[in-house]
This record gives sequence, structure tokens and C-alpha cells, in this order.
Amino acid sequence: MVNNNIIEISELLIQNEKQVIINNLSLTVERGEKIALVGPSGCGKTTLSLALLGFVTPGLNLVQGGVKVFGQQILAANQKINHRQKRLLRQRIGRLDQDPALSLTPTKPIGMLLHELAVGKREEQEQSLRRAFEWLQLPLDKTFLKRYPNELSGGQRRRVALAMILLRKPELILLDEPTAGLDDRTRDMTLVLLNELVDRLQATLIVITHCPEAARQLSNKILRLEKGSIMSRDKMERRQEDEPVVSVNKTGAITKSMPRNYDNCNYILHVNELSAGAPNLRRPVVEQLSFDLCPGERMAITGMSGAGKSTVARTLAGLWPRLGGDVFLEKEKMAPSLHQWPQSMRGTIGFVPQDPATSFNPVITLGTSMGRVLKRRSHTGVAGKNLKKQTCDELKRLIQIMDLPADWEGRLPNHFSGGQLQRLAIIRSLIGGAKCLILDEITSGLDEATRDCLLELLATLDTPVPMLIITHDPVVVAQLCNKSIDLNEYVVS
Amino acid sequence: MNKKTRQLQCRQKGRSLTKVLIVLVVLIVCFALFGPFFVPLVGDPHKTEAFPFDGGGPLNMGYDYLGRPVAAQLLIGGRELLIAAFLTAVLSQVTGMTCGLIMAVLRKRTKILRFLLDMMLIIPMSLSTLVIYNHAGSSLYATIPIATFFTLPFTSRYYAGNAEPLLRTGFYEQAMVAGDSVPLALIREIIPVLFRPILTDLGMSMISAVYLMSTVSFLGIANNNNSFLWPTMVMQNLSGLALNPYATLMPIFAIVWLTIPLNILIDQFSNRRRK
Repeated sequence: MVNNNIIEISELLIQNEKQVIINNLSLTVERGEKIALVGPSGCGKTTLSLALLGFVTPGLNLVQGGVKVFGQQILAANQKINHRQKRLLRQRIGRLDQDPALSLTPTKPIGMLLHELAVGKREEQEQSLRRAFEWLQLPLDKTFLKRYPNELSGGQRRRVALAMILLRKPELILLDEPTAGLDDRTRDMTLVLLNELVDRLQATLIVITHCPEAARQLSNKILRLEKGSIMSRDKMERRQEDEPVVSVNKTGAITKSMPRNYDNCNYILHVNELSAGAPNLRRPVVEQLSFDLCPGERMAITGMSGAGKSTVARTLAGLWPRLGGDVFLEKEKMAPSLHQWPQSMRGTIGFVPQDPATSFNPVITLGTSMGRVLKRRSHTGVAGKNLKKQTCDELKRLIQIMDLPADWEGRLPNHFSGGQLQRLAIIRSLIGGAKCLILDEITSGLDEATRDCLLELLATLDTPVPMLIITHDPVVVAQLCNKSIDLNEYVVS
Repeated sequence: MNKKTRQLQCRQKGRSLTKVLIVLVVLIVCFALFGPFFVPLVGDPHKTEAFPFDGGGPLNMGYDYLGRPVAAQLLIGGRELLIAAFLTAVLSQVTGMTCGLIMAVLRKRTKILRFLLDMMLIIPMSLSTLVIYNHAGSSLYATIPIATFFTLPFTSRYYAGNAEPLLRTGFYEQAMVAGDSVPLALIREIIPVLFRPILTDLGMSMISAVYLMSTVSFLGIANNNNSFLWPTMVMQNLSGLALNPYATLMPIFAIVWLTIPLNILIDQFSNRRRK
């Protein structure tokens, strides 16, 4: 009798020293099913998805139970699984991580990565590649294939990662937060592509997501996880109105930006016909971008994935050299590159990157990191000492407002959650003397509850420092920003 | 026995082994550094007291090819080798790290430097060391800059490779945005993260330096006054191996004791970090 079960999990118990991560979980998934695992951060979704690949995250222990995929054991407590068996099983599983860039080897060009996975003779490989690229709307020219992963936009990396899965032809696909960090339009396009991918491969799908739209569109069954246990199993029936309205071709109505009327405003940041692009690409991605920011204003920069939002953020922060246009901060003209800025201008534009985990040195405590910021501020001339005291007081006030633990100073960054690190990154920029703050997708990768908490704290933060908020999330725009600009208008085609 | 118990036992074994290795390394370092202070207790290492390769003597280790007590020579023979190897390791790390960080920061602008370092790789290290050492007046400590020079291509690439990904991290960018200069950001942000790679390479450099200096002495290029004693003892007493094996084997054992536990300890350290 043919076993129709692709996945069989029996009484899986995974825990660390302090808590249970997966709590006696049992689950059976039949061939062709599409399951969405939803739940708050820390409920065990990623741990479960890794268990399906035979991994137990370092630091966790598999106490009991096991996992079978394709009828064979891939993980079992008190039993050593043969490595060859695991490897053969994993070859039949395709996984797309939350950050698709992680699956792309940074030191190899795209063409090489894809050819490694394509099977068959050279001609068959070329054909498979052509079909995959056509379907994913990626350019199949030599210039594109010679690019390295860091030379692609986030959306292009995601599609290349999908192409890699397609070439491998897996029977089971695991998707971990496939729509994290995507604007609505790109999200819908991605969901269409993913549905088509699963249908083409006739694969079984497990998707981990906290996006209700993704769960609804990709799956026919939703499992809600909480504290490592399945709380509910809901069957989904796709309705007509659930079909995404955007087609795969990237055309769509361009939202007009808010009208600018800053004639009476003493602007802090004035951007005039900015041209911005990544340092290793010859052409700018964004051109002719102009806007002003007044004290206390919070402006959202929105746009599709690949529109150049992060490029603009990095260019304004000076990390990437400006290709054209002018930027004025408090009427002082900023040089194109950070290295050309005088010492007095450094730190005046604060930049909070998307990934909070890497924005703090992993081997230095937060107290030391913040201490350095305070020291820099005290080296500012005559008012240095008073400024240091003021800054210390401001730091204490912000720590209290941002609801951070009392013993934060002695902790290393890996002892904080993503949300806490984002808050600390914002505080660091504010006490560092930033006159303007750029927040680059600070809520992507956070679950809804954490995101809402962060937005609430930012909304109540009483500071005259204007903020430029790069986001695709309409909730962020609605809750935090009093104006927005759509970058699609300024993208170079 | 379940997996957790097995893992715990493995970890305990690993910790015990690390402790044993640390004790061995500390013992040999103390022996090499403080041995000369105990020489008066075992005899004069420079005085002929018996027939060549005679047995008996202090600590029953016999006498060397000139009738000098082996035990006394063993006590004085390690200090200079250890100090020279350590200085070489430190100098090699400093120059290698400096070069490596420059290469990581400036990248394409260091093409000429990379080319020159690559050219050095094709020069046979031991042979060149012997030639330069000979022309440098056979000075004992000339091996330090020579060894440092020849390990530069390796250490610089090692640090360039380790540092390059760190220059793209958020915390390095934050330091630049906040106003730190490149050298300051490298010292405050990058080097602390490289602490374990530095420690690992320091150990490896020291071992390489010991072997290089032993080679120079062992090949007899140096005269008796300008060589490291332990490897020289091996070369000089080889002919009397059958008569008094201690004269040859004890310095070999001392060199092995100096290098192998340190090598395994570095491996333990690196493995623990990977886990």
C-alpha cells in the first residue's frame, strides 16, 4: 500500500533549558496538501520547519518523538539517523528562507548558482533555466547572469531563489515568511508566483507566516501554533475574491505622492533632485527625487520591492555616494559621500537599518555601545560636559519610554529580541545627536504584536527630530507618518 | 543512554581534555622560561665533565658529544626559542592584521600589494630563510623578521578574508555614520570580533615559528653560539644516538611538547567556537 503521507510527526518534544519549544506535537501531512503554520513569534514555527529537514537548532534538545518525511525517518530522539539518508531526503525538499539572500552564495554569480542546481546535459539545463526565468520575469542575458547576489534588488533575489527551487524540482516545499518585507503589490505578485510554483511541481507545501493574506492564498489548511502546540486547524476554501488582483507583469497604477507645501517651514532636511544607485552599478536606480522634512515630521517612503527605497536611505545617510542632486541638512550642504563629511556633520543623520541584530557589535555589551555614543557627544567642544550629562538624562528617559529591561547595559545583543534591538537602535541614533532619522524597514521581520508595540512607542515618542520611514507596510504609514512619497514615480526604467 | 546524556558526557570529556592541554602548555612554557634558574642544581651546561655520550649524570640523562650534561643544556635550551617564537608570532600577527585590514578596506586599490604578497608565496620559505639568515650575519634574532616577512602572505590573507564580511555589517556602518574614522572603527568594532581568529592564528604562528627556527638551527647553518639550543642538540648528538639516546631524544621531546599540545588546544578552542 502506497503511503500517501509526506510528513509524519509523532509526539515531537523539543525544548531548551528554560522552556518547551515544541510541545508533544503530532501532525500528518498528505501529498499535495498546502499547510500554513501561523502563530506569534517564538511559538515554534521555524523550529518545526527545521525539524522537517532533520535539524534541531543548536541550544535546543530533542527529548522525544520523531519526524518522518517520504516515509523515512529524518529525525528521531535517541536514534542516530544516517547522514546519507538525511541528505537524500533533503534533496527532495526545497526551502525558501525569510531572507532569500541567505540561500544565495554571495561569492558566486547568479548564473553559476543556477547552473549548479540544474540537472541534465548542458542543453537541458539551458532550457530549464530559460523556462524558469521566463516564468519569473527575470532577464536572461549574460549581464544579469554575471551579477552577484548583492547586486540584485530584494525582489530579484527572491525570484532567483524561487528559480533555484524550481530547478531542483522538490516534492516538498517549505516557505519561511515568504512575504516578509514586501509591499502589498509585490506580496500579491509573490503569492501568485508561489502558487504557480507549487502547482507546476505538484508539490506539498508548508508555509510559515504571520501574514493572514499569505496564509489564506497559499494554503488549504491553517494550523495555529501557540507555545509549541497546535491550537487549531482550519480548512481554507479559496474564494473568488481571494484571487490576487495584480498580474505577474509589473504594471500598476502609480500612486501620486502627497503635495509638497513647505514654503513656510524651516526644513531640517532638504533633498533636491537626488539621483541614487548602488555603488557597483553604473546607472542610478532613482532620479530627480525631491522633498523636504520639517521638525517633528514623519515621512514615509513607499514603493515596490526593487524601487530603490533602501538605496535612497543609504545614500542620504552617506553610506553610498550620491550620484546627483543636492542634500541640505539645516541649510548646510552635505557632500556626496560620508567620508567627505566634516566631523561636525557626522552622526547628524541617524540611520536605523532593517536588521537590528547586525546593527550592534555582537561581542560588545549595549552599555559599552551606548557609552561610546555618549563619549562622542562629549567631544564636541566647550559644551561637552554639559552635553554629556544632558545626553545621559535623555538616554535614561528614552530607555524608560521604550520599555527596555533595567539590566540592559550588561547584556550582549543576542540577549535581546528583534523588537528590543530596534528600539535600542533608535535610541542610539537619537542620543547620538541625529538631527534627522532614517528608519529602513524597521518593522519587517517582526510579528504583528511586536510591530504594533514598536509603532505605539514611536508614536508617543516626543522628539522634534524628523523621521524618514522606509516601509511597505500600510499600517506603519497609517499609524506613524503624516505624509508619504511613492518612489515608483522616480524609478529609472 | 539518550542523546542529551551523550552530549553532556562529550562536553565534559572535551573540558577535561582542554584542562589537561592547558596544564601541559603551561608546564612546558614554565620549564623553558624558568629552567635556566635551576641550572646550578644540575651542573654547568658548557663544561666538559665526562666522556662523550657517557651515561648517568644529572637526572640520568647522560652527556652530549662534548661530554657536557644533557639535563643542564635542556634547562637552558628552550628560553630563547620560546621568546623568539613568541615575538615572531606577535609581530607576524600585527603586520599581517594591518596588511589584511588595509586589503579588506581598500580592496581593489591594493592590487599591487596583493600581487607582491602572492609573489612571496612562490618563494620557498625554508630555503630563503636559510639564505637570508646566513647573509644577515647569522644573528639568532634575525629569524624573527625573516619569519614574519615570509608568513605575511598567509596572515594578511587570513585577516583580509575574516574582516571583509565584517565591513558590510550594520555595526561597522553605524560606527562610520556616527563619526568614527576608519582606523578607529576597525580597532573598536572589527578587531574585538576577530578575537578568537587572532588567538587561533597567534598559536599557529608560534608553532610555525618554532619549526622554522628549529629548521635553521637543525640544519647547522648557525654556529654554536648563534643557534637555538634544543634543535642544535638534536643535530649535534645524532651520531651518538645508540650510545646516549637522551641527548637526541630529550630535545626532540621538548620541541614536540612545546608545539603539539598547543596545536590541539587551538583546535579545541576553534571547535568550541564553531559549536
